[in-house]
Amino acid sequence: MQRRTARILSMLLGAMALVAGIATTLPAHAAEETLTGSVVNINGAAVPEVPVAVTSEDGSFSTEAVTDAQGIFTVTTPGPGTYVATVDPDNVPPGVMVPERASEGISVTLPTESILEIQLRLTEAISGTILNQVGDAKDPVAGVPIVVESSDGSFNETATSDEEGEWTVFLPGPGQYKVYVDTENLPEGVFVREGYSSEVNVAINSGVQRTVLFPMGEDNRRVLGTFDKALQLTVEGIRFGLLLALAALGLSLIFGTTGLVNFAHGEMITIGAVVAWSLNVAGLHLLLAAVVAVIACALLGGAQEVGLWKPLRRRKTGLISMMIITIGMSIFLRFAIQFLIGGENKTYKNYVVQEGINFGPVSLAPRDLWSMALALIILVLAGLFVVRSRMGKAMRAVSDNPALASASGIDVNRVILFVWVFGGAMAGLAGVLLGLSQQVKFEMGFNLLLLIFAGVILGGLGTAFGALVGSLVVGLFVTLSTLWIPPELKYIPAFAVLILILLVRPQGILGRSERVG
Amino acid sequence: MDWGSIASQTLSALIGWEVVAYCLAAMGLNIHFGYTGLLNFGQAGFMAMGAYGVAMGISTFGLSLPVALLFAIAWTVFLALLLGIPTLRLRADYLAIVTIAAGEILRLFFRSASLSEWTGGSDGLQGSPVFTTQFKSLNPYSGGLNIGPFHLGQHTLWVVTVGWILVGGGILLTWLLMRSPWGRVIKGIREDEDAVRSLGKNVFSYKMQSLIIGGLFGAAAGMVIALANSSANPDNFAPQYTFFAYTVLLLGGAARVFGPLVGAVIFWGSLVLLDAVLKNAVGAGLIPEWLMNENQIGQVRFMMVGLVLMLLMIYRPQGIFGDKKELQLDAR
Repeated sequence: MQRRTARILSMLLGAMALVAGIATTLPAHAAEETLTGSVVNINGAAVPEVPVAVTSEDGSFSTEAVTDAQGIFTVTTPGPGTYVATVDPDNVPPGVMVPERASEGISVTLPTESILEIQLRLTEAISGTILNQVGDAKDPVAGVPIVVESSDGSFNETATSDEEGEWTVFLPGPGQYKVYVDTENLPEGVFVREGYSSEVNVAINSGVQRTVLFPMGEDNRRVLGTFDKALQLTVEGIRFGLLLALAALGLSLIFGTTGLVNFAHGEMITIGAVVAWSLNVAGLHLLLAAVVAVIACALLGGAQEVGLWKPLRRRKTGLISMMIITIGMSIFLRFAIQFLIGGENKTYKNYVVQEGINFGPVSLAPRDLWSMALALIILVLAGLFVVRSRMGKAMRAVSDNPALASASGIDVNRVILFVWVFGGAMAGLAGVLLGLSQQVKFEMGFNLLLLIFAGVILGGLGTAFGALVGSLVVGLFVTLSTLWIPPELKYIPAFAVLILILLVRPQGILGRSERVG
Repeated sequence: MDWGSIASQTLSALIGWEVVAYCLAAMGLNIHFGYTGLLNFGQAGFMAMGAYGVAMGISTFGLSLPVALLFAIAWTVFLALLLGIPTLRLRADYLAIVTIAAGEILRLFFRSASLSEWTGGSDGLQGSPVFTTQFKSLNPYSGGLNIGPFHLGQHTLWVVTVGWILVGGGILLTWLLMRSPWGRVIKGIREDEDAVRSLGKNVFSYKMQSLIIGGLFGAAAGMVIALANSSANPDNFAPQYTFFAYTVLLLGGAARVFGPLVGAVIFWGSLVLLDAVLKNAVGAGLIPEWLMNENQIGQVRFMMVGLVLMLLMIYRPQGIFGDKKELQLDAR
């Protein structure tokens, strides 16, 4: 656009000059056109040090350029016309390859606004960094031999880590490879960490570069004594349990008043966190963003009830059908959120980096302290509200017997609407706080859903304090179990408890017994 | 827009292994949910048992292919017994939560790094020794399928052949079972458990048999997935795949012998069609970049599944070809 305006302007100027009777000659170099291009790999990262040959279509002109650190190359051509840029497949730096469709080169017609882009394929490779744990420090180790062997034995190469501890082996192609540390030839004082394998089998797909790490040196992660660790985990467990309880409250009350098991409750948590995050990134302070997020979730809960669940109840849709509808809604919302914000972890802008405060052996960031306090206060208030207030009484009456409650003058639909709004707000708050202690991700709520079920069922479905107690127990259970079992299995005991409770005492710890079978 | 290639992709997908896998998984759910009224939300767990039964049987325990198949069947039955004995007395929504939790426990175990020596951890089992070698060596085809718009590779063609034979056998089995006295008892349990009990039938035992048969269908789906991909990956058995199988079942119509088949063809066919059309439209610049890029097509596909599941249950719970009288969703 600018260029066109410039051209029109220069034409006008030229016309004026002619009118003025002054002969104008264009400067000689104006005929030259600059060709700018970039070389990237398939991940979009710039590839420096790539020689690029640029030839004019008729072959009368040819020159070479090398990309700079930003992957950009520039050549000056004799003038407008079509030029072809090619990368010599034998001359590219290690790690990238010229794909077949780019080997004939990419042509561009000058003058042009756009930057020519050459995309290179990644060579399959395995790389890693060898770090040696000495006390608290991680030092890179040079001279560690790493052997990469293909499974059919046709390829065998040894790499040695450099001063930064880094090593890379480029592979002949995709396939199955065995990577191992040559433990016989390790430098003095360096050893593969006890309990870790010095040998890994990896499958490399086409164009994949993979990182393989071998932990070296002493394991320093057990510096905390078991008792201190248990204390730290207990505090973390309480924090996690309180957040679960916030989310569980809504789920439990919705089940109590309507009998609906809401599989889309996890997405309410995610939406709370996502709204807070997006407003926070847009410039609003997190505290304000959190308030907006909680209100948004409350409105969303209410809108759901008015727009969907109430009409469905009026149509006498069965509870199981409604449950399957919540599953559809959960899938839809989860992937709609991923569509909007992408699959990566997001972080808030405020309160991210905080120095931990030490209480004896326990260390807590101030944000965790505040979120624990806030969650606890809200939970106690909510509990008191359910037990003491008129609305709370009405809620309990509706969960007890909706027909009887309605006959005694309680507006059942109004109570249910209130429960949805309230439950949505609580889930949204849980999401905001969870985004603070973990990170914001599209599936963060869904990952917690089963734990929330566990908490709710443990405490007794439909009771407010039951959800609080059950969730605290589940939170503690999940974090404390990492004392004995690997962290990636930490949800399993909680799920097992969920199953056990449903089998043995389906009404939960605090629930009243009723016929459920 | 390259309509020729879009049509060819969609038509090839209609006979592909994904349709076979979804069909088999939904056939299992049809027995559980459609006929018996059992709300099994852990079908992905049964699928994982089938896939890992074959993969671990061969790769980890060094069994031959037929023995590994028997092993997979045996431990699927074992899982069904383990899951069923305590839970089949629970009411529908509790059973749903228990089965989804059990499926997740299984997946987390298969995924865990501490068991990766046997299960391959989060990468899954794929090679050394490759568990599909024996299956591939039985392949009678010398090349892939290239007739008209249908294109399948040599290995896929072999998987698909076996798969469609399984589907055919499964449909026949379901049809025979459901017109037998056994099937009438099962449907009776769905309608009114107490009435069946008062006729002197052992309801628990019938439910258990139904759980095992449907679970084996799920395991067969898992085996097809593992053999077609030459890999057993824990993330292929996440809970959402159970719900996809439910969408398939409800699309075709629950408690219908051909329901899962019709559902799977429509489900997968429309997903592939949507995918191909969107890819083409984005590639041709028909959809502006700010609205959607190529990486977001996968999410649109999942969003559609969720939306279809919701709309089906709201407006047409009996599915496209189902019979409303057959489907009593709220038994108990």
